[in-house]
Formats: sequence, C-alpha cells, structure tokens
Amino acid sequence: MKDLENKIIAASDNYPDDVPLHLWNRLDAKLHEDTQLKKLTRYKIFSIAASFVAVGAVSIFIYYNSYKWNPQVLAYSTSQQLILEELLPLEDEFYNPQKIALLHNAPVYKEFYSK
Amino acid sequence: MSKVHENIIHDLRKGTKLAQETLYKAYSAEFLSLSRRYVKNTADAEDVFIAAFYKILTKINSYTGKGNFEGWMKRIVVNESLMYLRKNNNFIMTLETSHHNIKHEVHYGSDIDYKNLLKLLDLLPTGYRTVFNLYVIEGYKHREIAEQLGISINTSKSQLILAKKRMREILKKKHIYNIA
Repeated sequence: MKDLENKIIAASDNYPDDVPLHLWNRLDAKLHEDTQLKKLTRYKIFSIAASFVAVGAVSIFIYYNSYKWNPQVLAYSTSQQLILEELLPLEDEFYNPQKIALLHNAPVYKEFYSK
Repeated sequence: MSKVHENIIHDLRKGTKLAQETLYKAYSAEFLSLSRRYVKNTADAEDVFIAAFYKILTKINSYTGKGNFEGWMKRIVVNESLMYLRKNNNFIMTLETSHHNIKHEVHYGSDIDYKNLLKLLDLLPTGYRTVFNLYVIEGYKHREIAEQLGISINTSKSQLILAKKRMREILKKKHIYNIA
C-alpha cells in the first residue's frame, strides 16, 4: 500500500498544465467587480458623512439664530430660554418711556457722558 | 523551490495586475487540480478554484509572511473545497465497504497517471476521498483532519482505512472495470 500511496502522490504532482483560458477571465472579472464595489462603497461612505455634516451644520445654524425669527424667545448656549417681559409703562415708572427723556437730561448723566 | 518571489508578494499586497497574473500563471494548474481532487464535478471544481484564487488575491494582507506562502495558498484552496463539500451536503462519512456502481474504467499498471488518479478518487465516496486526500496527499495529521472536518480522530482514521480498502478492491480488479 505504501508503494501505491507513493504512486498516488507522484500522480497528484503530474497534473496537466493547461488551464482553460475562461477561468482567468472569470477571475479577472470578479476582481474588477470588487474594485468597482470598493469605489462605490467609498463614495457611499463619503456621501453619508457629507450628509451628516450638512445636517449638523444646519442644526447648529438654526440653534444659534432661532431668536432672530422669534424675538420673544432668546436661545442661549446653555439652552435656557428667556422670555422677554412686555413693557407696561403704567405699571412701573422705571419702564415709563417718558422717564428716558428725564434721565437723558439729568445732570449726572450729562456729566458722565460729556467726558 | 518557491515559485513566488518576495517582490511579487509585495506587489500583490498593492493589488498590481501584473503580479496577480504572474501568480495565477504559476499556480493555476496546481490549484485547479487540487480542487478537482476534492470536488468530483469539473465545473464545480472550477468554481471552487476561482473562489479560492479570488480569496488568495484579495486576502493577501492576512498573510503575515511568517509561514510558507505556498502552504498558505494551498490551505485556502483546501478549505474552500471543504466548504463547498459542506455546503452541498454531500460531505457524508460513509461506512459501507463494498460498492456496486462503478461506471468508469481504471487502468492501473506500474504507474498511475493523473487522469487515472482522478478516476480512482472519483470512485470513492466523498468522506473516504476527502480524508484520503488530506492525509495521504496533503500530509495532514488525523488530529488536524478531525478539526477541519468536525469529526472525531477515530472517524478520520476509520475513513482512511476504508478508503485504502476500497482502493485495494478497485485495484485488485485492475485494468478493467466495466459495470453497467
């Protein structure tokens, strides 16, 4: 049996050299397909990343500029919202616009700003 | 002597077409015959061969450079062939000792040529053929075969004994087998 095994091993080494040409073409096509797929994957990753950046940029822009469209609400970076009080001149003299003229003409104010 | 120069491996890692073609020319015949020894059908063996060569060319970076490059490639071809056998559910460990359905002719004289070797192997059930290929031709140990095929060491040993027995039966009736 050992002799036979040796003959079998020898026979397995004497394989024919001719390999059908279409096999290389198939392999080559598969490799080409793989390269195309890799390129496509790269584009996909790039476009996904770009859309994330775009969404992030738009969100940040909206976050920091929202008060411009809604003056009643001020948005701060701490996410605190400050609602502006309405001016009620009759309720408190401090808010009375007529007092502004008085304040403007006050001697202390004039002295301070004339410097 | 190795047919692969270090530079080719380096170029293969970069995906150079010329290096891929060079490697293919050097090993295609050997690997096609290797897969054919495991897979009976020539068309299926070609599919296995292409899948294995594709793996070699695309997974070249997983070759660390420590072991023998040819050995690394051969292992991929053998694994791919075994995977095919497993997938197609024809990887059965047969225990029968006689056969009745020999349709080919095997000519066994003082030497066996490659064509007759394939005929001889094709006459063996898949389990016998696989273990015989792995142990006698590839030089695997029973422990390695058992791990590869997910069988016990004893099963591997018995499959080999039965494969040899079957071969002897075939060769005893040497020269002509002509069964309807």
